[in-house]
Amino acid sequence: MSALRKQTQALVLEINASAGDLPPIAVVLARAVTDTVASVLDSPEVDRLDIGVRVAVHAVLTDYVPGSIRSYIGAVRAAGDPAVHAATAAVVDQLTTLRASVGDLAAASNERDLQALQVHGRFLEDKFGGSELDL
Amino acid sequence: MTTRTDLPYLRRRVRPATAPPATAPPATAPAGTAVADFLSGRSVRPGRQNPARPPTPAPTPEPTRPAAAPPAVGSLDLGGPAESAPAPARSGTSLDLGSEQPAAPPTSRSVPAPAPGGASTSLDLSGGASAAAPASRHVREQSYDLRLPTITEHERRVLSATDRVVHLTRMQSAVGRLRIEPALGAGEHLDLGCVLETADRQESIVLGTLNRQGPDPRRPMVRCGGQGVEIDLRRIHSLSRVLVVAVTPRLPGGTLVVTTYGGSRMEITLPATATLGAQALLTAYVVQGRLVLRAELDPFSGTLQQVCGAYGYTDLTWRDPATPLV
Repeated sequence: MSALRKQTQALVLEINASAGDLPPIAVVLARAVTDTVASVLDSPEVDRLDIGVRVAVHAVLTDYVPGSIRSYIGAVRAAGDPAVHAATAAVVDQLTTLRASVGDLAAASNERDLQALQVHGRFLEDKFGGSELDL
Repeated sequence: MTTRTDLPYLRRRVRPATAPPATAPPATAPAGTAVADFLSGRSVRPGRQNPARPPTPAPTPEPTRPAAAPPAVGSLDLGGPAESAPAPARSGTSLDLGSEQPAAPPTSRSVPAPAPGGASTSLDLSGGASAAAPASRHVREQSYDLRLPTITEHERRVLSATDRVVHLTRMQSAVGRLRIEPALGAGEHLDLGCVLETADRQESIVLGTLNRQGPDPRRPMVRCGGQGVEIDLRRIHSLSRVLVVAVTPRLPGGTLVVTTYGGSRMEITLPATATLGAQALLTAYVVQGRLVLRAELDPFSGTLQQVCGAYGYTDLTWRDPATPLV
C-alpha cells in the first residue's frame, strides 16, 4: 500500500504543477480522483483489498489520470487556442468517467463488498487496462 | 463660386503641351480655377507631372483609351480603369493623390468592372463575403455537476484530510469578500501571501510585506495585510485560481479561518512546524463562476518560489527565491 500512497502523492504533485496548463475544472476533477483514492488507501480495510482493485488503482494513478492530463496539455500546445474548447470537454469527460469508476471502488470498499470490488476491479482492468492486442 | 466659361484658353493652359517648370505656377491661370480643376481631377498637382509622358487628353467623352479592362490596380481604387500606358517610375498606388492618371470620364464611374486577374477590392460589400453569417463569439458553457460538498449559510466546518473541499454556491462566490485570516495564540504572527491567476492567464502575487494589493493596485482583487487576505468576489469572473501561502520560517499552529459574506466559516488547522520559508495552505479554483476551496494540508514546504512552482505558477519572476519581482 505504501507504493500506492507514493503514487498518489506523485500524481497530486503532477496535477498541481500542471494547474497552470489545465482548465480549473480539470484540476478539480483530477484532485477529486486522488482524494477518493486516498480515502480508499486510508481505510482500515486497505490490507484486504482485492488484487484486481489494487491493479486498477495503480493504473488510475500511473496511467489513466496522468495520460489524460498530458494528452490535454499536448493537444492544446499543438493545436493552440482553437482546440481548447474541444480538448477541455474531452478531458472533463475522461476525468469524470475515472472519478465515477474510482468512486464506485471507494463505495464498495466502504461497504466491504468484496465481491463488488472484484467485479469492478475486473471491469476497470478490462475497460481501461492494456490489451494484448495493443501495439 | 462659378466657373467662367468664356475663357476656355485659361482652362486649356492647365495642361499645356509643354509643361512649365515645376516650381512656377501658371502665371495667367487664376488660382481659384487651378484649384477647382485639381479637385475635380482635371489637373494634377504642380510638380507631379512627368515630362517624359505624353500629354493626356482632356476629359472628354470621346473614347481615347482602349475599351479592354486594364490590369488590376490597388484595392481602394474608386475610379475607373487606369491607362494602359504604364507609369515609368511609380508603383501606381490608388491612394496617391498626386497620381498622373487622369480621372475616369463620367461614363466609367458607374460600377467598375471586375479586374480580369481576379483581384477583388477589400471594400467590396457585395459578393460572397456576406453569404456566411459570422459565428457568435459567445459560447455557452456546458454545465457540469461536480458533486462536491457545499456549505450553508452560517455553517461552520473544519476542513480535514478526509473532508478538505468545499464548493461554494454561485451566490457565496460572487457577493462580498472572502476573508482568510489566521487565528493564532497570543504573541504569534503569521504573514500570508496570495498568488493568483486571472482569467486572461496573467499571474501575480500579493504579499503583506511587499505589495499589499493586486494585481492592479487601482482596482485590486486581493488585499493582504495584518488581518490576512481578502478576495473581492465582485470580480470573481476575472479570477481563475488562487493560492494562499504562509510566508514564514515556522508555522505557529493555530487555525486558518475562511469566511464568506454570508457567514459560512471553514477552518483549517495549522501545524506547528518549521518550514523552508513558505507553505501552501489553501487553493481556490473558479469553475463556472463558483469557487472550489481546498485545504491543501501540504506536507511539503519550500521557498516561496518553489511553492509557487509546485502549484503551477511558473510565470512569476523573482529577485531571489523568497522575493518576487512585482
